[in-house]
Amino acid sequence: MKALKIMVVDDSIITVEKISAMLENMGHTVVSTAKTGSEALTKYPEVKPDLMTMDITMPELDGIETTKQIISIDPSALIVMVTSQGQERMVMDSLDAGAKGYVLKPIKPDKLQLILEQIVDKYT
Amino acid sequence: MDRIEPVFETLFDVIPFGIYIVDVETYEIVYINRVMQQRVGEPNGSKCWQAIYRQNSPCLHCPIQDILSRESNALNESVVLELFSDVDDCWYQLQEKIISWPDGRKVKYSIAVDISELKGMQNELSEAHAELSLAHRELERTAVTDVLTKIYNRAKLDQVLRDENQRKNRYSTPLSLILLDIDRFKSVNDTHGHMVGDSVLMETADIMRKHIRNTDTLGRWGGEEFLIICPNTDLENAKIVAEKLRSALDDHIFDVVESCTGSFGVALFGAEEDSESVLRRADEALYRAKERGRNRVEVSF
Repeated sequence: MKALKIMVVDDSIITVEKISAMLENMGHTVVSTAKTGSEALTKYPEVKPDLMTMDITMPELDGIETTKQIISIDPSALIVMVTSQGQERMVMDSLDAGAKGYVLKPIKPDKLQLILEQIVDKYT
Repeated sequence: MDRIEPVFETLFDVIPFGIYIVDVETYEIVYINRVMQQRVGEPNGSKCWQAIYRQNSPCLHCPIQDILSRESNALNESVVLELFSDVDDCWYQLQEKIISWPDGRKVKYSIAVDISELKGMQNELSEAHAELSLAHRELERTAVTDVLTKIYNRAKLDQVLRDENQRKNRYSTPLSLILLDIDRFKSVNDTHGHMVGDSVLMETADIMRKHIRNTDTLGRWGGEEFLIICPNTDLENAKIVAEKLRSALDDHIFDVVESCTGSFGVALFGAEEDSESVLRRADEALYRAKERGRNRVEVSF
């Protein structure tokens, strides 16, 4: 799989660090991180990442709303939701919002790898 | 950290769950038992959100403000929440309660039970559910979609025709149909092959999709025929829509074949008229458009 430029969006610094480390281990580059939905919206047009990971639960602008807004700017944006809420409702809502896949916490590197491969195969 | 009774401390240290107590005003940790201390490691601050959760501000899940904003009887009421901690990648069930501390302060105590294993199973179950919903959604989509052009297929058009005809009868609103047939499509296939023919069909579908109104329903009726169902539209307006579609198609520069046009037949549902009869009339109008030189809109009166 080709190396991707990835933006990581999560309000928890620890999660940002963990996901970033996993992605870098797989050979991808984390080109940008954002701690809030609005920060992600501001950075997205400048950074133009190949793919984003998006936390569902963030204060103010949550991951689902942020996803909606990013998809409205760029319908081809590839977004993977990261959720600790193992409820299919949240997952379905984010997919309706335009996310291309999801991973549940605790994130397992092989699961993350698999979902990235599936998305890249299907959408690029 | 304040000194607390040694008996109390010993008692809390033998309990196999993480326990911590914080001042609800300052979030300062008043007490933390051994299990919890081992879990969080060396604290990097004295407030719960720093030391335990490694956050920069009080946690999103923190129920303190919520409990305090309630009536006074909310004190002594247990709150139970499930929480994923990214500090140690574990799921916890937290039981929390605000009580009065011996020195008069209000404190919140929390008992954290590791439920990672249970959550792991629940997550697998949710994933299975989500996969099922996705598969179901995909099935629903393919059942109504034309494989080549990605617009609705005939089965979906039949269903929309039935529904719209019923609605028209109930509310006495006009309902029109536009039937489109690509001109000289057979010669495109014969001259350039089926691949080019297929791409003409796809391009035509895209142009139609871009130029219909959002209340119209577009689908592939069969072969090189497309149907547009126009609810709440009289003959005159349906003709305007058809004319717009005709000219959009005429203006479009196709890959390979470059120019390709369509003939259009338009018909309005009569009172009590069934779909079959209206479609036949639209088809007759379409045939007239072909006879009169193609790249035309003809209306059935």
